[in-house]
Parts: sequence; C-alpha cells; structure tokens
Amino acid sequence: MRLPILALALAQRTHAPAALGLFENGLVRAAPADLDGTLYTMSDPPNVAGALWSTTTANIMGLLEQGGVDLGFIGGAEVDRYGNLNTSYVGDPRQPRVRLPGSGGGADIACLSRRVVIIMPQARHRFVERVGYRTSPGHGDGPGWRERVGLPGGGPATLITTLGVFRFDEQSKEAVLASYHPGQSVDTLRAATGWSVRVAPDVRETPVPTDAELALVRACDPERVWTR
Amino acid sequence: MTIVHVQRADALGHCHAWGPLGVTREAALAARRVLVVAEEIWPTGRILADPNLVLLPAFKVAAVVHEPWGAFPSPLQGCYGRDHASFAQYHAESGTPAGFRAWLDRWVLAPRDWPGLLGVLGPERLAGLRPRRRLPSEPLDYGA
Repeated sequence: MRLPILALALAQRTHAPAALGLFENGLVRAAPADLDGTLYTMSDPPNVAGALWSTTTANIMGLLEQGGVDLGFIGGAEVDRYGNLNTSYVGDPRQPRVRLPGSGGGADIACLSRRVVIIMPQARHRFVERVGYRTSPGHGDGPGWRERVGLPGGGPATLITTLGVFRFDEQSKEAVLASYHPGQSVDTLRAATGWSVRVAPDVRETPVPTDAELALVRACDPERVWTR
Repeated sequence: MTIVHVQRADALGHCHAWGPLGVTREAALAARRVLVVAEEIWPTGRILADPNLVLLPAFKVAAVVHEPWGAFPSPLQGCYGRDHASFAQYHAESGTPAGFRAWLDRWVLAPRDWPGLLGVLGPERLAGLRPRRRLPSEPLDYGA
C-alpha cells in the first residue's frame, strides 16, 4: 500500500481502531483491504470489498468541506518552512522546467482538513525557503495567514520525511525538527533542509517501530514496494 | 465531450457503472455529449431493471462502443485489476521527448486497433489481471 494507506491500516490495527479512511476516489473504509498481494493505488479493485461506502469524489470532498475530516495526508515535490507544498511546477510557472501533476485533492485536503500530516522524501533541493508555486497551502506566510485568508482547519501539524520528523510550532507556524531517524543526526538534517531549520530543545532519535508494528507494516507491503 | 468506460451498456446509451466512481458521473454530466465505451453490451430490459445503477441519462450519450478491456491499463471493478507494469514502464520511458515518442509509437500508433494492442500484450498478461474471486451484490426488487 502507498504510505498514507499503509499508515491508516497500521493506525486502524493499533491505536485508532475506530478511524475511518476517506479516499479521494470515493471510498470509505473502516478496516484495511483484505489483500492477496500488493495494493498499489486506492482504486485497485480489492480496495472496494468491505468498503462502507463507494461513492463519488464530490461526496468525499463534501464531507471534507463540512469539516468532517480530522486528519489529511499529503505530499509534494517541494515543501517550505511553513508547510506550503508545490506539486505544480519546478521553475518559473510561466515557463517551467518541469510540469508536475498538479493539485489533485491536495489543495482541498490542505485547506479543509482539521489537521494535516505531510509525508515526503527529504532532499535539500526539495525543502526550500519558499516554494516556487503554492499548490497546497500550509501556514502560508506564517502566523495569522490562514485566519487572514479565511482557511478553516489547523493546517500542517507534522512533516514526516525519509530523514526525520518536524512539528509545526503553534506560535511561529514553522517546521521545527523534533527527531532524526536512526542513522541521521541534527547535522545531516540541517544539511538536507534548504532553510535555516529550528531544532526542538528535546530533539532526539525517532523511536523505531515495535516488532508488532513492523509485522503489520510488512503484511501491508509484502513485496516491499513502498517500504524497506 | 466526455468519454467513459463502463462495465455494461445497452445499444441505446443506458449504462451501468460501479466501483469507486471518482469523477466519472460528474465528468459525464458536465458534457453535452458522452461517448460510452462498454465492457459488455446487455439488453435494454436488463439494464433498466436497475435504474439507480444507471450512470447518466441516455439522451446525453452520442454513441456506445463495445470494447472489452477498454479501460486497460486502469482497473475496472469486477472485470480486471490495474496493470501496474504499464504505468511503471510509461514512467520509466517517458522522461525524455525521444523516450516518450518511442513509447507513443510502440503502444499507441503502431497497434492497428484495440484488439491489436491486446494481442501485443498477450493472453497471459491479461489473464493475470482478472479478479481472483467473485463478489456479487444482492439483487434488488423494484417491485411496485
């Protein structure tokens, strides 16, 4: 399963058994798909069996718009210190070097979820001072921005990367390094971040999954497509 | 015009679609004319026996095309899964203009028609996409 689906499956099987998953393609699930192999996308046919609802994207987005979504997952090509994401263009939007897929449901999720978790591979050229194009707004220009532009919902709470975990500060609204994964350090995280990153006073190594959690993750990704 | 692929349709444009619908219905309704591509053609009486499952009003349908495997490499609920290899291959080969051109020539322009493409893919590859188990729903009674 892709990482958000996998994360949801893990949560439903551990600390959040009542969690409901809403998928952009129109599916609502209370439990992970029963698999005989790898789920690559939310629209793979096995994801429908056992679903609580199979409907339209518009209906799922309607629930999002009503404030019904507690947690949204998104990722991007570029992220900045305030959790704004770019999935539209690399380079000048009027003449881009690379044209990316665009928002999909990302902008809706970023604007309307009560809380957002960003999942991204980390590299310095992708973690930029200011994204070249604001496809999915996080905390915008900083404190007060979401309120000024009229966005409900809390915006990004956490940024989880291949190197560490950042949490968005309640006051300053910027990403603060909370932990570095095993094998990394504050120095490697600084080197991989394209802005002068603040570090939490209690920064530490990210706790590794328990054996039980790891077994669940492996069961969801038997062919190791999304995990190592 | 919007083009949609559905599991079954009659010759008049009444069609059934099920599974995660995404934007299928809205895309069809937003267009003035719709091209319906169907995995199977069914008699009108059997389609209209379940009017709730009908995707859109037939007066918007300009044509119905019977084309099995027409959604390939995307999935179609109850019929076939997603062909992940096709997407991975496109991603790998289309990174440059020359690579994209070669991909286009081989997979889009060279096959004579859709059955021609299916012939290139081969029966084993297609058979591997079929559902591993049947999951029928309960029949409905619209009795009045």
